Amino acid sequence: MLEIRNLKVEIGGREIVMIDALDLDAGERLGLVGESGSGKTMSAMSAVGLQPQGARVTGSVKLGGRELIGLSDGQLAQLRGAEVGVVFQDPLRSLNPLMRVGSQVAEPLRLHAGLSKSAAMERAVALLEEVRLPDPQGLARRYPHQLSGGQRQRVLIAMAIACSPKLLIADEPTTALDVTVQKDILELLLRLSRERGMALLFVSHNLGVIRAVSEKVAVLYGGHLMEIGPVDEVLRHPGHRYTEALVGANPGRSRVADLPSQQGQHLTTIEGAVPAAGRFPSGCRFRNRCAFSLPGCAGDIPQTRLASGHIFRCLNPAIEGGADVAAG
Amino acid sequence: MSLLVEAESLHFTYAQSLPWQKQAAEPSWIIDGVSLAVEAGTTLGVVGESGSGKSTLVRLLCGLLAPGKGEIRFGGRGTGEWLERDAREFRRRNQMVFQSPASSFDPRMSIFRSLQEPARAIERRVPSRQEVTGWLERVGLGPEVLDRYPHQLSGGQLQRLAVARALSLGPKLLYADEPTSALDVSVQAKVLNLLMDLRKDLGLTLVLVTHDLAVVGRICETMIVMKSGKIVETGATADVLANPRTDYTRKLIEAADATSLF
Repeated sequence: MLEIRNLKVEIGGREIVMIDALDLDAGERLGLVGESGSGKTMSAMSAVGLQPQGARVTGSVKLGGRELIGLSDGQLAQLRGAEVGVVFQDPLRSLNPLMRVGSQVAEPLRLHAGLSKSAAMERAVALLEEVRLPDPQGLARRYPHQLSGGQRQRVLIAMAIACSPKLLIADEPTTALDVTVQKDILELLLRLSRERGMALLFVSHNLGVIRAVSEKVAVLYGGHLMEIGPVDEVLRHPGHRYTEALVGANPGRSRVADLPSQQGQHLTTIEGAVPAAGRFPSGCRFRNRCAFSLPGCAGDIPQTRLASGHIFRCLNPAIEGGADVAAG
Repeated sequence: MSLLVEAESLHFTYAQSLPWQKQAAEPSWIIDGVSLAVEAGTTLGVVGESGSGKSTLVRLLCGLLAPGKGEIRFGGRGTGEWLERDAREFRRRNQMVFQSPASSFDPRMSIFRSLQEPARAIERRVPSRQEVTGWLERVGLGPEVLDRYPHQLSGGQLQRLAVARALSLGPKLLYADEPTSALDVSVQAKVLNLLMDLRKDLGLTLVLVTHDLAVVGRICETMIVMKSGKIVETGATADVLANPRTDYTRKLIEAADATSLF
């Protein structure tokens, strides 16, 4: 349904993102994980024309067979809200402080679905109910500042799904929230995706959060796709050394009740720091920080594809037999 | 084992009325009757959601705020008395690392100058470059960072420098308020490893405030769970996480488990 090929984002001549291939089937949930500066938000947003000013986006992004790269701003605005819903990290900045919540949820329905004012408002209340907000009638008449962070995020989700998009892009939607609220929001996104058959592209720095909502995970570093595959398989048997380090650095590796027995054990760390944009090495972008790099890592790295759909590019992979498996 | 910090029915609230207004007989407390004890050489985790009062509590314990009611003793002596008679010595023994490394450093001071500050302020001496370089080794940084300014360094580097600065006076107790929540996972791992090592190598007592139960599970021996300014549960971390006694703690554990990796 979503087909990304050679998506390249350049800012001031520097290549920020280069994704060779990323696919999302209808109703599928994919998590895009990476640390700050990995280009995860830039990739997801550029795919639907939300790149920052001055960025040059090339390549191909097809949504249901329709090419999005090269569409005019007006066409893209038509598309977002109708076929693609977007939820951002900071719910307060994404809502208009001067508009009542109900009118904001009704807005995309009037713009894209052409509903009348009263029909759109009726539908908006139903949507607020669908995202499990208490007293949707009364809440629709409130202003954003009168809601809690979790409630605001639910309102944003209601807005994003108002026109029944085929794809929902969520960029760190729970990062600003308490863990208990985060759990509820993740459950909500999972339920909506299942009930509506809506694909989800979920951007996060947190592998655990991605595991809670997605079936597949794509690991990004320096704007390049390092690894992609079924989320449990990638977490348990990472192929790329970067993914392996990312998993090892996470303190929440098992249920919290099992963690005290691991006290005193060091977490995995990664040498050095993420380079500035445009300063990444050639070949594998992780090679100058990788403890397992080989001379060949400076050149082209062949793709390793496992039967399960698990794909990675690593010459000295973390799983046995990795590099020998049919390269594609 | 000796008790390093004891707090008895602590109460605290920010001013709720202007000086000329009549004060309510019983204000609504932000910290509402907290009692706790920290043993020397252990690590205590303080968890709770936003607004639970966990940051306010450590600010009280380390003397940045004064309690409205109740008493805090450090090394058997009341903090009020410490601050009145031996404020410098109290500050030397109680150091703190804050959540945002970027706002913990004066943007106009070089890192070298920033790191000298505690010694200048509390010991009234100017440590040499060589001495400061020695502090950097403990946190895994080289002397090249000394001539940089905060904006030229990453969040992880700054947070490790904040730890180095806090340790420069040889404190007995280090308070860390969400020291890794502004950092990437791989950088967080470096800071958490550092905190674990410091405990082992220096015998430091650590009080760690965090919303992340996984962090508490990995590095704290004891923990307290806070809600609305009260302690709802306390005990050995392994006990609390395996057998939570309150619904609130159970809810926090479920939320943390929902995003575990395996």
